Amino acid sequence: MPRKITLVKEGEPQPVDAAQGEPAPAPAAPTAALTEAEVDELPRAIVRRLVKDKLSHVAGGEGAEVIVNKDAMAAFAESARIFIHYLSATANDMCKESKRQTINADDVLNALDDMEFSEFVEPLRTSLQEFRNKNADKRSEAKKQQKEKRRKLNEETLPQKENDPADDAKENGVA
Amino acid sequence: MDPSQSGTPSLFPVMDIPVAYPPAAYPPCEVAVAAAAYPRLLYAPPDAAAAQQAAAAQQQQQLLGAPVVCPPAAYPPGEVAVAAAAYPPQLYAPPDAAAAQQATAAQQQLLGAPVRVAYAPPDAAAVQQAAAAQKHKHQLQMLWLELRREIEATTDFKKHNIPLSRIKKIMRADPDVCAITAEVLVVFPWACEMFILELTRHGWAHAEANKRRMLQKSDIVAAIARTDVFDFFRDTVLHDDAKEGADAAPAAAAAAEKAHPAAGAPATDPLANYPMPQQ
Repeated sequence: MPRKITLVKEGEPQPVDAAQGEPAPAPAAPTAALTEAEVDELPRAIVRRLVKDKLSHVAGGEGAEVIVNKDAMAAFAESARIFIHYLSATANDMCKESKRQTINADDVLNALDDMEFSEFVEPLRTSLQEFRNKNADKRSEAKKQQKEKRRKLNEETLPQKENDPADDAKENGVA
Repeated sequence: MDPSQSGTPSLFPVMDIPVAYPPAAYPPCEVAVAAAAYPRLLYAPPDAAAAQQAAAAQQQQQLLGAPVVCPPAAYPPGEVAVAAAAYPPQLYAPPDAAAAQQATAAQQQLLGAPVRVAYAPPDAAAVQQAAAAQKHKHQLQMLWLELRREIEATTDFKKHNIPLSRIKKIMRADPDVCAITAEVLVVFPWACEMFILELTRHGWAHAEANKRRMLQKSDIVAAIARTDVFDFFRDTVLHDDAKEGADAAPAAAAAAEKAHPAAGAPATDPLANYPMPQQ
């Protein structure tokens, strides 16, 4: 229930929806909401790692370490979760506009442009190209493996077809 | 007879010149002197060398004549050595001069030719090669720089720290989202990482403004309020603040009260933002 409300807000920020959304969280159980949020949130260790790496870069000149509050870490994780919801909803809208049912990577990139995160688009495209290249390499390797399997199958089928004792002796020798 | 026969074939091409001298000018007893003169003719250029050798031969004849007459009449046997000693320098002087002249001429010829022929093309070729090498170096440097930039950009996103299972769960929470391609699942963790980095940057800026070394939730809330890009989840974060305020102890309530003025400012911002999409 609270998820849908948040999604509606994310989808279209309208005052009527906001007015309707305000009383909704009151009836919801706070403990259930917290537990659900904790389950769906991203792992804290990874978020902490990312945040501290960025802070070390930003505050590198000063040299001192920066302390991050637990509430701040929770806020980071929750904001990331909300970001995923918002991005997936926007990408879904882009996909439907183009009359397709499967969300594509290009839809996600266009969604980022609409969300005014244009800075993210270029590095993501470069990483996508590399990912595709890697997939192509993996596919070629998979084909090679399939060929090897076929060869093995052929080798296995040949002795089954032939039932001569000399061939049996050869098979035993090979084994 | 044998040495004379052996000498004739070597002297054959220059037979005319020596044939003219011995029978007319020189006695048979001094044939050795004439024979000594011939090799010089063979070894030197004909015109200049011949004239020089003729002069040398005349000088030698004069010297040979003098000692033949003097020793029995004027000089004792002990001083014959002095006369013999006088012969070598005179005998060796002309070949030294001729040899020196020949050597100088040969050196000039040898030195001149390779300098002109050998050094000109290598200079031009060397210059061209140097220019080409410099161009190649520049091109290689540019290529290396581009590769480094690409590598740095790519390595940042290859870690895949965020697990895909969590992202799938979060995406499946939306009923509208039906089908997703593998590439989308790859793009989402990268986008999340970039989002978190941006949020930390803005939050840290706010903390620095307040001269603090500790990132707090208020910093993140303020960053979200200040940045237009983060409008989409401003309300939800504030709601979470309200929930935590309700659930927590009085100290947390006090913190929430302190946060109220920060919350007041963003409350006006969304109102200002609402008419824009309507228009």
